[in-house]
Amino acid sequence: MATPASSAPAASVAGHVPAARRRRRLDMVRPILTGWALLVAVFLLAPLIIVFIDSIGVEQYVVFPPGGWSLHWYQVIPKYYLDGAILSVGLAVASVAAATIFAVPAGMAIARGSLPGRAAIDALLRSPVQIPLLISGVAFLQFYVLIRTLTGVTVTDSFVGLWIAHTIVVSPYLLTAVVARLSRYPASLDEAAYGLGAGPVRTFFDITLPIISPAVASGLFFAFLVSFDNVPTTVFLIQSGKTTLPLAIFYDTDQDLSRIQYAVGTIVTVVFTTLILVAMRWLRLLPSSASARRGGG
Amino acid sequence: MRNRRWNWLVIPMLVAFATIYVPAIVSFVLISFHPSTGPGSVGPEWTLGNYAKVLGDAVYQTGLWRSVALGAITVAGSLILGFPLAYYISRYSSRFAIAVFTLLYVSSLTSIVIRGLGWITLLGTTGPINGILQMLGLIQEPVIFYGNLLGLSIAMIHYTLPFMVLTLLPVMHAIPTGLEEASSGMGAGFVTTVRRVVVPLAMPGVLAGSLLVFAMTISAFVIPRLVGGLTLRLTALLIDQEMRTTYNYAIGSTLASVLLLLVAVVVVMASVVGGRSRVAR
Amino acid sequence: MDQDTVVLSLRQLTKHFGGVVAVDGIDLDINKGEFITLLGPSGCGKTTTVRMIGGYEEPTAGQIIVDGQDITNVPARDRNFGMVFQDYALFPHMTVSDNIAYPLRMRKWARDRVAGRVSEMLDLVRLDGMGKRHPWELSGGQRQRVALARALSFSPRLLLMDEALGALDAKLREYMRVEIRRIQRLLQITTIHVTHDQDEALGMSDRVVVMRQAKIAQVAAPRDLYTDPTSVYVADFVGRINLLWGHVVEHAADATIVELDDPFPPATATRIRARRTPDQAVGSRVRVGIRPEAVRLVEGGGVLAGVVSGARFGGPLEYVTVAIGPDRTLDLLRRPGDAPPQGNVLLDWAPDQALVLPAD
Repeated sequence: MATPASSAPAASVAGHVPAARRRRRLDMVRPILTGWALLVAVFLLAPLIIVFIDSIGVEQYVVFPPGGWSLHWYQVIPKYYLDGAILSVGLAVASVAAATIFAVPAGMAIARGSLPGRAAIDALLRSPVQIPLLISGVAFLQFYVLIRTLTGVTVTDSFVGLWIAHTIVVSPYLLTAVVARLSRYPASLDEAAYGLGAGPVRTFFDITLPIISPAVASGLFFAFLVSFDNVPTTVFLIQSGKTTLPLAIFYDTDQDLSRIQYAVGTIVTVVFTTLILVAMRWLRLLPSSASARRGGG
Repeated sequence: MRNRRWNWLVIPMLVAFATIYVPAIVSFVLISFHPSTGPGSVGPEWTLGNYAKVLGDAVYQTGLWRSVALGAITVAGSLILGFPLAYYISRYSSRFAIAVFTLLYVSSLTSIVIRGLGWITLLGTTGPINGILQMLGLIQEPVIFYGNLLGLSIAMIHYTLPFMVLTLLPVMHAIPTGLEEASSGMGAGFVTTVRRVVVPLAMPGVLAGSLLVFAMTISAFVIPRLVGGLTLRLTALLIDQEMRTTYNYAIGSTLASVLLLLVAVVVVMASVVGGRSRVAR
Repeated sequence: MDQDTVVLSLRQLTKHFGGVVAVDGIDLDINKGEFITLLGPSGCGKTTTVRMIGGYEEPTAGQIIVDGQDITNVPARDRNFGMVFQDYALFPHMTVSDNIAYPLRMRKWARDRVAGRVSEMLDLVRLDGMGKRHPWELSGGQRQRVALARALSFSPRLLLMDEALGALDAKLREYMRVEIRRIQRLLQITTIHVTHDQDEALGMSDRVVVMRQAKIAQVAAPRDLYTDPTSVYVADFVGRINLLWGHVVEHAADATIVELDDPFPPATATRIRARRTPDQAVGSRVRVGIRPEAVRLVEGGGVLAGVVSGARFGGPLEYVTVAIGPDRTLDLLRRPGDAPPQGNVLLDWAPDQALVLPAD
């Protein structure tokens, strides 16, 4: 709002433009921007909607538009997709659990400790997010080959190998969540607990953990999604046998693209979207933490 | 209060990183300095030959340039789509704005492979995009989107757009609306206000978002593989080919090292930009 | 003060943060049932002192002795002191009752005994019926009372309060002063309170410890602190005071004669009678402090002459500023008359009301 002092010069400058015209132009900004947002929304939704449409076509091979409609492809999803889903969930859960055990305490140390070289340690422990998933895959493949050469132990092509790689790749999500939460955690809460008679361990489980747990949960959630959907790292570490669900779709897309993948894709998308929406509601996920997700798919 | 007694809690993760992660990164970088001696093996002697080959050979050069070009196109596209959107979301808190915001968020978290499936159909010669273009009479013959940067960059923009917008949003929110009111109060039109006030103040976000999107794009694998195809010879796809098809670990590791270096430079630039904008605040 | 009743003693208590001396060798004895306030500007070391007493900060040197036992190295959890933090530090994920019960659960009290004590405490702080609420559902004053109830529920040996009223608005703060004092008297609990608010310190405490730059400037009952400050710093920090420069001329039987520095308007006595203060040697430079309310306007005689330069209405009382020399003014506080005084006036005060303070 213009103060009396500033309104005089403002009026003389604005005086060249008829007020009515200016108002009309301003009023057009909102519809134009809304239209733009609508366009982007269609763009964002398009691939997801098309996956669903493709999944209910009648022909086995994907033709657009489909000549008829059928839910047949949902009934003939091969069992290895289910096995893949089980492996993916198991791998994601195991990796997130292991990452939690390492990263939550490390986050406490970084947020509250007086570590020498704290910035460097922090950067190192967060760096797997910065490194493209593809390169993590190359790195772990080479590392496992090296281990086999040196010790004869084979980690490649095993659950353990995948587990280790996924744990490292997702651990920064938890670390970041814990450090960010603790940075706005008042020290007086823990001090109050000490003063009231609780020891450090008791304080952690009674006070600190329950208070930071929503933040930890959102970190867990991101970590789970990243691990579940990780093709670029996994592709280097599975050479034969069982694959994860996204990797199964990825391979079949290359060799045998059919409506079955679209049916699986629709199911996964529905499950994912539901989870995400529930998580946004319940965990009050901060969308900005999504920007921590990078690395390239 | 920082206290020494928390320090030891970092040890398990630090040890895990020191014994697994750091050696893993070091191992492939080291392998890039050894000659290939057949599928899946390298010789003991040290060499820069792999780098000479990767930087000198036309195939690898083209791949690198294409990756960089794809990155640039994707940054431009996601900025053009994303900047007005971020402005819209930051300035209007309507139900629709919140819905678009939620959609961005959900989109960024849905499976990349499945989004790739969607783009395969969308960009097909009989797909809906060609269908609409033909219906509007804009084209006679279907546009070929597969196997070229045109189709791939559309899919990549879709992949990176949420990250661009989510990086721009906090910066947009931090620009006081009073500045825009002051600008229009002094007679500036909307376009002038955006150009003279909003864009300059949003610059740190634009830079950070652009660098992030660029780093994501040059190292992306799934979408380029599904939508672009092998004939594009992007660096990421060449790495996969060397590692998993020809088993030339030396060249694969060298390409990966070059890509990592490129990404590292971009990440460092982004942190410098981020650091500077924090100082300015 | 009876030696036997001392519960807490600080002996040369010292704290350094890096190169900064936060608390510099403090000695203090606190008696049983006493309400004592550490008063001082921010950075004077008062919060660090109370945090060391609570066990939240490790002293660099010195001792903390409670009931004859050295507890300097006893962790906070074993000290059995209640603490009310500046931000209350209520556990956000627990209800009011759970917050109050927390120290009792730590002490492994039986369930029904905990419930009984919690409801007693809720009664005490007048929050009955609020037990099931969460901290975010309470007003600032209610939160403050929960924090107090939690700090008292386990019958601690000492109650510590760190700027506990600082986050409340003025009206509520005044109410809580009375409320806290009522509870403190009822429980007869020894209390150490930290504040930078002099009204709070004077209005609540049995004794006030004024701190200055990591040291104790003076320890006294509020009334004595006000009437007998031992330094310019305390005189100026506690209440308002007029300070004039001068030097001691002689010690008479009932007063100390001080020659005030020139320049003063001619024809006024620059030699004044002040409270007898023999420890200021004849010839030494001193400050003379006179509270505004001790200064009177008189018709004839008086100590100093001046010209009224301003008056400020303040409800029941008004401040009148009198110029007594170039760049030199003196404030007086009086009941507002029909009209504010104007022009030339004569000022007077009882010699005993003019304090002779070391010049620093």
